Amino acid sequence: MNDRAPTVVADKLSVCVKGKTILEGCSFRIERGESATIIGRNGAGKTTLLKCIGGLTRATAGSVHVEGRLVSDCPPRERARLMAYVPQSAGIVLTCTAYDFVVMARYAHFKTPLAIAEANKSAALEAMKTTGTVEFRNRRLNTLSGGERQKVFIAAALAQGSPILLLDEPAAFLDYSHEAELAALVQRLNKESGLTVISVTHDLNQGALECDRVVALHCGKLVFCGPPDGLSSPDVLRSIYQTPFDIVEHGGTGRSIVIPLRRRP
Amino acid sequence: MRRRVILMGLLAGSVVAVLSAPFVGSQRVSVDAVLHPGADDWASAIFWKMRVPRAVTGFLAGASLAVSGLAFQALFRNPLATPFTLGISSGASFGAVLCLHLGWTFSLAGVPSTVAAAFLGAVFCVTLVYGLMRATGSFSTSRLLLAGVAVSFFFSSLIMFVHYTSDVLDSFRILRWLMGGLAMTDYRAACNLAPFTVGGAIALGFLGHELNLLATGEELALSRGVNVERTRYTLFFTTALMEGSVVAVCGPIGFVGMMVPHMCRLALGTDHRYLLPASFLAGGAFLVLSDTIARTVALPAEIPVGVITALLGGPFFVWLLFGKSAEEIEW
Repeated sequence: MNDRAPTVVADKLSVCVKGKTILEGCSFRIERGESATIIGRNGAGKTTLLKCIGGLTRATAGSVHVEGRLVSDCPPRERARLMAYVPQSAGIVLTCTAYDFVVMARYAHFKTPLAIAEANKSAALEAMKTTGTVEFRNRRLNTLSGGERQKVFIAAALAQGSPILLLDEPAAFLDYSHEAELAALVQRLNKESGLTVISVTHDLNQGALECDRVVALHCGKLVFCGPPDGLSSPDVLRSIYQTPFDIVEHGGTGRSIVIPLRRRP
Repeated sequence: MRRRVILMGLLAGSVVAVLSAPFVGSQRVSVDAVLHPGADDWASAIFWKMRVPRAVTGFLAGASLAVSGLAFQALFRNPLATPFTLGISSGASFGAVLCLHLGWTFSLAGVPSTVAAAFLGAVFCVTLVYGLMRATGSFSTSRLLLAGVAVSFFFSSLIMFVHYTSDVLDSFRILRWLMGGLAMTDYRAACNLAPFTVGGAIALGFLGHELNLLATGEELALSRGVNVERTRYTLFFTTALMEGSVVAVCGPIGFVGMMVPHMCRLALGTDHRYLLPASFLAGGAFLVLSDTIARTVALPAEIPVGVITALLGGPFFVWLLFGKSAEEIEW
């Protein structure tokens, strides 16, 4: 694949907050059009890494380049046109309507302080169609279920019109059907719309084993970066998660599933 | 469409309130006397020299309070936030109280001493809160809120101290000032207030999109491309100047800044592009109305307008709390 070029380049990325090291010397690349998954234990620095890529947290040392631009020097609007971020929506209570929320995400394309151009409105509607959220366009976000709300959040990120999508634990707190629906949606955005998707998850069975690249963190350090095949040995997983695993292949779909083993007392 | 109708209604209501308020009061004023003022016509003098400037000042003050309250509620994502929360009112009050206590009477470029002192107090207080924020290294809204509350308490105790050491006459004047009111307003007061109200409202009026996004959370706003830091500074200092000028001219008038934005949200939803002009108009009209009640309900005496806004505000919040629309203003 010759058209593939690195779109995200992290170089010796470190983040310290109040003397506590959260990320230390992480260097890796993610190529254009890839779907990448950041994995690791709770507190390993996954979300911080995602926010660092997105320019929402400042690195203490090192740098992130996205599409050849240094993220920390990028003006907010231009950064927003490069990357769209989907936070963990579970804790966010909003009373605005779904449509208002999605159209607001076009902010980086707004040209006047008071009006919203037709082009932005139609882009918002288009994003809602793609994500199947048109039906609750007039519902307030706090009246939606977790799965519906998560789809609206993705619709908003999609409306932002950025080539890179950053997702923080997109499937957290979702039931199996919503999780499957969401996975299919994200896969479609990646494969058909050509978006580069970078997501964070702690659950390997939520898509980490089917993506193009896995970035694994342990205590803020990068311990693995590469295609998920490299994770096939239980020893690698054990070093990431500090707990023994079994990897089994599901007969019907051929998908790999990891099973964390309980330590016997 | 519905939102435009409501805005037009508010505009009409405000015009009616400001135009009709001067006709109401213990002295009957006829339209004829207003239009054809004689040289020594008592009614016309009351109308033009007292009630009209009072209505205009009331409108400007109410508009300032409501718009800055709206901006702060969005910035802090907290339905109880008002610029008073950041200690602006305590700072201004301390300036005025000190001035009354020490008996300073001077005039600064035509601005009376208490007004000037109150404004300086407000500016000092805001700078102090801001400085505390800068010193701690990061500008987080929860810290800003805490710094504001701390500074507010500090100045409140200073006011109490000055109040306690004052004689009876000063003590009464201090208490009267702390209640806030529009009784002492003239055209000069309106002229002092107008540039802050109009300038501030215009500056905030251009931040509708930013306020909408900030209300969804700072991180999300940042990810959408809002220059959060710059917007926050602009909001902080614009509202501080608006609020400072109001407190300086009218004293601390509570509840308008908290209540009017909520009423507007109930009617108009969450879009700040509509909420800003609506709060401006509704806040102005509400304060003019409250003031008209305050100066007529207990004739010939006049009660402080703060008493009326609070008396209307308290029950209003209880009604909100039990109403089915309560969830719409929650964050």
